Amino acid sequence: MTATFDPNLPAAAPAADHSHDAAEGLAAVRRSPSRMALRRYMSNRLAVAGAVVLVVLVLGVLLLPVFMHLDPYTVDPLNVRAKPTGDHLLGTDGVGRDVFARLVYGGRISMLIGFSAALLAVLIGSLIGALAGTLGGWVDSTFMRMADVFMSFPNLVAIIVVVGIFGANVIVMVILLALFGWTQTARVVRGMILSLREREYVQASRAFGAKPLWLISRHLLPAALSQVVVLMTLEVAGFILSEAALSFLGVGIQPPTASWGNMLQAAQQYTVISSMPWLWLPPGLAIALTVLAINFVGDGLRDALDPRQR
Amino acid sequence: MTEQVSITKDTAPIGDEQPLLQVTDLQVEFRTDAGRAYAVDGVSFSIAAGEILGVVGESGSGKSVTAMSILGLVPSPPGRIAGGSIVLQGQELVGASERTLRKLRGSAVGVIFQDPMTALNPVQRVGRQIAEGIRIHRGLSKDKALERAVELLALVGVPQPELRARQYPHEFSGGMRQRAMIAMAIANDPALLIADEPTTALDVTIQAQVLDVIRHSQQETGAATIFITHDLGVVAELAERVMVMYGGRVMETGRVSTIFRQPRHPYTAGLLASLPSLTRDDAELTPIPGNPPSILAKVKGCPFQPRCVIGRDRDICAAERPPLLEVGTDHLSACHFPDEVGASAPEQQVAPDDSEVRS
Repeated sequence: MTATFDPNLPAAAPAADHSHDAAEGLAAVRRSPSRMALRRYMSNRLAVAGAVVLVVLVLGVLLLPVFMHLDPYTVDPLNVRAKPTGDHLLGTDGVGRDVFARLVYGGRISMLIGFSAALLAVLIGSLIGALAGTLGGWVDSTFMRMADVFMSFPNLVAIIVVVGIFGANVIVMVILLALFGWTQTARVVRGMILSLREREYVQASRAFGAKPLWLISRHLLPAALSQVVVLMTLEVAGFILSEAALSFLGVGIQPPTASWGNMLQAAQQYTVISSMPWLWLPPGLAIALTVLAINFVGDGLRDALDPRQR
Repeated sequence: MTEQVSITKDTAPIGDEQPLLQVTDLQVEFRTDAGRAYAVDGVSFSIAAGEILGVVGESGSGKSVTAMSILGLVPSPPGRIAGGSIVLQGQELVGASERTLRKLRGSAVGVIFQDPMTALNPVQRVGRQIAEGIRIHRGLSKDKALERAVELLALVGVPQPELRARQYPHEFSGGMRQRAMIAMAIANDPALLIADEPTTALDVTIQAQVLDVIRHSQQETGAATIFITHDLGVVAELAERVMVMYGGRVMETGRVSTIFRQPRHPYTAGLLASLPSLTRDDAELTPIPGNPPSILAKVKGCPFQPRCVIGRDRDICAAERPPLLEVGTDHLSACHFPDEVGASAPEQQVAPDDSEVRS
């Protein structure tokens, strides 16, 4: 296999030759980092399973309402806490709303909050961490003391107060969770950049006239990106749990909007928890399954993206 | 080549009177836990356009720090330029703004780093990294800069440059990586090239090739070159002038042919005497006795005095700093007794090692 490999050939070659050797040869020729990472990820069964479950769950909450009639809001006082039937796949809740519909719509809200809050937290955290690590000095001290303050703050109390002022909607929840969730990313990114910026290739880039922002965007953040992605997946899981916890306490998403957390909260009001599992088992399982899947994906990504394993 | 070298508005024309780079009495200090370290202590030198200056000295003699201060790349803190002046193309660089320095880095001054293994980003394609400097300074589009990167790879003798530009550093051999480094350094036709021990990390067999590439690139771009090394053989082969450094100071500077034939500083003489020779039948190598000086204290006299056969018993050498004075045509030496260097043959230079180190 010569070095002047026609890029069109790999596509044609497997069709002509199905032998195992040919595939091996191709893998050796095209060893881009992303391809190698993908191969490492695929070799981790739990991570693949997690990804499959996660994709199914996400597609489910996104697409099910498109394909079937689901109404999470209509109250039916004559049919409360009904057992699962053909009409109501998972029965009805305390005011006669369809539990399955609420599970799907609640999943949308819970996942939306989890993913957006994690994205926002990681964006804020990366930016602050990158600036602190690259610029150092008083910028570093200021941002890191700020992070300390946020970390030592009693989140729950603060969130209850803010929710009391602004009300609890999705946007407020996302902003609040991100506001208390960026510190970990900031610390990790800062730490990585502190070690990365002493690398000779970063020094070299500086010697070729690169500005701090160029260094951050071309050399520092991309190198820290794998860690950030892993952190983000774990934060998604964490935020879905936080949303559930807050809603369970009654300071999260407010009914009639459904979320997995407030479905659980509604279920705890009944002293007959043991007799009506369709009210709390589905949202509880959904949360557990989602968080578990995301954590497996995060673990798999960490192993796959770690450049030291190359 | 001159039309490719960008000359800024405030740059005075470079004539015979004004060298490309003039460094005067440069002082660089590092704040360490053990106290202040005087890494560069009053270094002066100049380099003319298109000239190759070899800088030799042992580890810690201030070679690299001197070179890095030209670009303001001394890590600060703990380092800082404590005094002196660096004038490049008529522009004072000591105390210049970061902005000014940044514009010079990679355009007027290119750097070839020691270890191409670590100086290239492992997760970026080589072509993209070479294109980086071009994009920063010329504002070319990504594609245009990549085209130029391929041209540069061809110029430094990388076969199949189009393919190589799309590869990652780990797919390059050490010599090829250093060629890519050189391509990065000359990407913007710099007026000055700083090569910081560019062959130290390479196999001996590759060293000669890389030296050829540097020489070729230097001729191609007409860049003056500061070549830092501790390999006297490399200096003899490549440089026209040589500057010998010790303890953060310049010991001797002059034409390579002159200094190698007739050193006028005992340290240079000792260095030359310590080389293995093909003609002499040496059973043992001849080292310079003693240890390199600590740079944690400012030396009053000559930093080499404790190890020097000429000066070790002389008060003036311990008390008074020898100025860098002309001892011949284009030949400066910082020794109180330059005439005695030639008088004693290298064999007699070496005093018995009584490991006397000044406290």
